[in-house]
Amino acid sequence: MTRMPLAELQSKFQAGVLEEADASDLLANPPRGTKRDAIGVYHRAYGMRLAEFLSNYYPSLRAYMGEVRFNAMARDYAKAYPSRHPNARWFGNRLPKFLHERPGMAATSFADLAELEAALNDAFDAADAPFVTLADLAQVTPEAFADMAFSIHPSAQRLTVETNVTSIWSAVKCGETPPHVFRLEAPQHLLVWRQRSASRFRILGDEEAMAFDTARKGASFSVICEMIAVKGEAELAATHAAGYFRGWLEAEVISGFSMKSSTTTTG
Amino acid sequence: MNKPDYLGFGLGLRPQHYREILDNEPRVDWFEVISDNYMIPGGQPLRMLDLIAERYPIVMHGVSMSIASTAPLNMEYLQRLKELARRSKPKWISDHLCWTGVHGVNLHALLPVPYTEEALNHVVSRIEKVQDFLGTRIAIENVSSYIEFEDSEMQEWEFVAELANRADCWLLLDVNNVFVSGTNHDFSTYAFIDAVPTERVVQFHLAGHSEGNQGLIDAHDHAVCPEVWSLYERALRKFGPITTMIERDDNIPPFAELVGELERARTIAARLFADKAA
Repeated sequence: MTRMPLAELQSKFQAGVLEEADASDLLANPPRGTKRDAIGVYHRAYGMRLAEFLSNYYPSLRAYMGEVRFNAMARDYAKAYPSRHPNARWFGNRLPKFLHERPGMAATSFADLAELEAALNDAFDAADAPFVTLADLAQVTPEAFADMAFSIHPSAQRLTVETNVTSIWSAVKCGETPPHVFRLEAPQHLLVWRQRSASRFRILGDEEAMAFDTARKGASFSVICEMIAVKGEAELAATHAAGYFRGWLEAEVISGFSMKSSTTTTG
Repeated sequence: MNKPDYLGFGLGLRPQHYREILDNEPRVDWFEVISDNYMIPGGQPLRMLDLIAERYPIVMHGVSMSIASTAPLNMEYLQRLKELARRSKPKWISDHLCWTGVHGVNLHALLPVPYTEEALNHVVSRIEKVQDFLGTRIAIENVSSYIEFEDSEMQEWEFVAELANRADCWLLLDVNNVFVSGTNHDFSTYAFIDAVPTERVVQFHLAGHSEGNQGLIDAHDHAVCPEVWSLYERALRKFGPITTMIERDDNIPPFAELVGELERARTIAARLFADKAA
């Protein structure tokens, strides 16, 4: 008897599980039922397992979409983006992209909601890092502060959404009826991060979003002030920037600081 | 060949129970953690693992080594596994006698192998590579299966026994998986237990299963059934005191219920080995 090489057998069996391709010639006759029934156990379990991974990862999206629609979407997603990572934790990472590209999604906030939930999940198990407190900065003189640059906590992410997804997310989380979806007049900036062990987000105004994005690139406090001055009220730039920094420090979003002449990481 | 220390009676660590475990330090001798769930950059899950590993012995159990796949070993996965082991200092590391995919796709399923000489040589060489890389023997678990390959040349238990001896690895004997596969494929569960080499087995898994249309499904969603308790007793008689744990992954009950189930395992073993002492 000529046996099929193991690699070929695995390839054929996998096609049977994924696409229900005929793999019955690989199988011995089962004591009960048919070969098709037997491999069907793996096929059904595969679909259910991947839908469950997505459901665990995107519980608010599932609640908002409804189970039937979510499961149908999960099947399509698994076909478009089969899992390629050994850890199921990362299987759902491309769902926001998938939903953004999916026809008929423009009038919904599904893609924005997926993006927000993915960011909250990513913040939850992002790398650990210390955070700087106001007390750590107590000895820094105002002159030195101008040259200071900050590093941002690895959990912090910036999103831009186009729908009222934050209201929808809040309602779904509280088990309330979500508001009707609508497109915002202007895109909304969000900061998502982890504080202690919980993921959080808050809405940033245009100026704070710009300041945060500039700070993240390693710009000094004085450069951030200049950027604010160019775009807004020059005389209030330093006050605004100081207010933003204080908020980020209190939120534990800043994980280190450095000077032009030396580098200090603290927290 | 010295077996790792006997750990007693443990449970699978599940996030639902973190608080209960840390607040009350319940009478559980050790915890098994799903390695993959902690192969993440940081945050609360790793902090919980650190805290629990300070209080209890830990065993790491993975689902994605894909030791029987014909795809190349995923060295990045193994590196992360090694780093996690460095952090949580497990008593041993285990994974399944299965493959999870080929051609870059991961089915996140524990797919069975044909019990052939070719597959045996393949899996043995991969276990040896993994053990060299990790610097320790690993434990390999028998899986539940719902199909049998036409090409198989030997019984599953013959394959498992030969694999352990040739690869010089440990075995994690899942008693429920023996029962599920035995029922699905009409083989003698006693023959399986009897064939497994005593000196290789370091751990037992106990779990519940569901009934499907054509057979049993290893769903870990029920309490351990009477037939599996009975098979556990049979296994204890053969292997002697073996580190035992109860797996529960779905319909997870309150922690006290799992501790109660674990007490049953403890009682069975205590009765058996008291009999032996007498």
